[in-house]
Amino acid sequence: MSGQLQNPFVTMSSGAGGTDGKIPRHSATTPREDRPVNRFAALEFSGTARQFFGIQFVNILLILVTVGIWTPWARVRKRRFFYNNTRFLGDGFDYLATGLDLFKGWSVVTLILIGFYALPVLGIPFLQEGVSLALVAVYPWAINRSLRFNARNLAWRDVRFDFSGSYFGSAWYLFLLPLIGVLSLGILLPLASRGMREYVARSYRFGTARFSGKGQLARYYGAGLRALLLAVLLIVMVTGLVVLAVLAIDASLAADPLTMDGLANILGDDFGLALIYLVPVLLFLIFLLVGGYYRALTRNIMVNALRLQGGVRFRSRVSGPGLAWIVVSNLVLCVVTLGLLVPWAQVRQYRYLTRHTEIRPIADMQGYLDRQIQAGSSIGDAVGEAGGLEISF
Amino acid sequence: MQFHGRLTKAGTTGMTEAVLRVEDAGEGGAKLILTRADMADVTPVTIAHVLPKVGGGDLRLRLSTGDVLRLPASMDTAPLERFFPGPARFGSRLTRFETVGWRGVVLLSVLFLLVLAGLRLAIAPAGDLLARLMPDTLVERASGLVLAQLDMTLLEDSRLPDETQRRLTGEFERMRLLAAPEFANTRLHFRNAPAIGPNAFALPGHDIVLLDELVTFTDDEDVVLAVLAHEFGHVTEQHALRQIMRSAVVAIGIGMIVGADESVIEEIVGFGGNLVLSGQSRAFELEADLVSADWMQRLGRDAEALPRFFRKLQEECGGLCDGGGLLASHPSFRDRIEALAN
Repeated sequence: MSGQLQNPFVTMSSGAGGTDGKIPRHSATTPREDRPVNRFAALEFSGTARQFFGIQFVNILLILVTVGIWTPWARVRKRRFFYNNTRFLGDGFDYLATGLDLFKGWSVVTLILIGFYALPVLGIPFLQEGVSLALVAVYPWAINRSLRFNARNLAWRDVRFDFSGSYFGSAWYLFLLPLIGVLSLGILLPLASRGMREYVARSYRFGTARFSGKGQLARYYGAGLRALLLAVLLIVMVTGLVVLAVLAIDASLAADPLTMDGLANILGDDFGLALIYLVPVLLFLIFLLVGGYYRALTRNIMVNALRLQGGVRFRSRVSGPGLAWIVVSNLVLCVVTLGLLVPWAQVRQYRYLTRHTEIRPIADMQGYLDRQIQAGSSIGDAVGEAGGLEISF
Repeated sequence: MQFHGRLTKAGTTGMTEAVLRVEDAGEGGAKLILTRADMADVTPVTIAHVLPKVGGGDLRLRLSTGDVLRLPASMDTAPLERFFPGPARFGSRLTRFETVGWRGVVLLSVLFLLVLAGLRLAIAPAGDLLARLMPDTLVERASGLVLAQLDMTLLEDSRLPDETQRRLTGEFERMRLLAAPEFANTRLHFRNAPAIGPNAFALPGHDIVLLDELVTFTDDEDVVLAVLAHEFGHVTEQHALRQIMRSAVVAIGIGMIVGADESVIEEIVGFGGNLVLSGQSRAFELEADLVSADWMQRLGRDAEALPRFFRKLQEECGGLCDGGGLLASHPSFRDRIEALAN
């Protein structure tokens, strides 16, 4: 402590302190009278596509120059960009993990994968398949560790998040229940969606405070029904267009469709051949559209039911058609521009989601405490990445 | 010089406004002084940890007091960098490099497209180089393993009469004499596979599998030999191994270019890679067709057998079992007949 030095805040009103005699106000500081305490306010996102463009393409160049070694650092910079620019009460979220933290897990997983792909050298039939099955059992553990690692490395102000899911909880809610949902031809999918979203929500903490959330099952089924109707409508439209196109190729098929000769005729026609490629593309777009629509509806249900201990409430106003449109149009634009618009598309979708997420804070959010825990290793994060798994809060 | 920010008390969400001031410490040195809005005293501090600005995010400084000071992205914090721990200075320099104007965006776009074009051009030579570097023993072991797995799942013992097998093996021996010495140990395996149908295939090593169904389907020994010569062409040109290695180059290349992205774009670029690989696979098929035609002629057999087989297949199943198209591994029968005619 230095007793001789003067605190400019003490004498601020007299004009002392600061290079120009004034203490400049922090640009992100919300004036006290405008603070959205006890009323809902949307999250802000201050990043721009141009900023992300620079980050992504410099990342790609560095990954190429370092023959892939930069990848963990690239992931960290990407996550920092999105989290840091996501602001609540003027303060951005901080992603605290370093590239070196991720590199450690990434190295272990890379070595395991090299070993896995080298298994055929041993010459034992189905050894690789057997090991694959064993690795499936590792995934619930890995996804748990991944969620915990990323939660503990995410902080708002100086309080970190945490994830306290269990192996069997993750295996049931994140793998088996969704699988049962699909195997039941979608009948149990809304149940699985609720289970998955609520499991993730109630396993999260912010410092010492717990999250909770229990949405009504009927509302999840309502979302499922609306998504199903949308899917049926779109598939009927595509089927109608395909039938018209087939009839345009060979009118005789109207009387006797789906014969071998008929199919051969279609395949022999250039337009028919183009149709063969177009139909899977259209079905994929329908899948994305309906997926985006369903995701938006279930997200709203979960977020609206979410509570943080202490009285903080959340609200999601994502529009189903809005998100579905963004997902599909982003994809089309990314493909057309050979990937050049990927940064723009990602910022666009992220900004849409943050702007439509609202939080009702309490008492300036000053009273939360960190749990002072270690983040643990990043192996789970790397396994999750290798398996293409990504589940986030 | 002073930097005004928001100070979060260590391990809490409690915060206050604060100023970090650079003061002269004499003899050219400088020190940092922290002043807080909620305390009368000022405190000399050092910077213990830095999360550099990324994009439009704030600069986050962990001070020696344990508290966190956030400085807004719009603030010029370069004069503070000499107080940063070493690695953080690199992060700050990288941030400046990432901050691009519209000219930078154009330049990076061109570089990105050049990288994609480079990957496209590198697939064949890099994959072929890897195939050449692969030790024969490993390839042979992998090939044997694939055959063992197929035997346990799809393939059964051949039911062709011994006489037919002997005759075909004899012709196969003659083919081996035409191959380069390193392929003289290529093996012919007879198998029965109702689930697959009339076919033959070459494995990545020196193994060729002929299915009974092909022999009974054609009822024409020249056609069977032409197909075997085609498969031998795949072996001598190492098509299977080269295709595997080219696929690996595509997978690694895509992983490096967009793998850090954690998005559906990896699948989209992967689809593009598959289009390229399918095109190269079709080229391999045409190449093997030409080897077959050449060898049939040199063996004194009917060089027209292969086109005849393609025509028969066309007639038997029309367009349904024809190859061709952007995603197909084999060219269409029409293209193959045309290529052989030329």
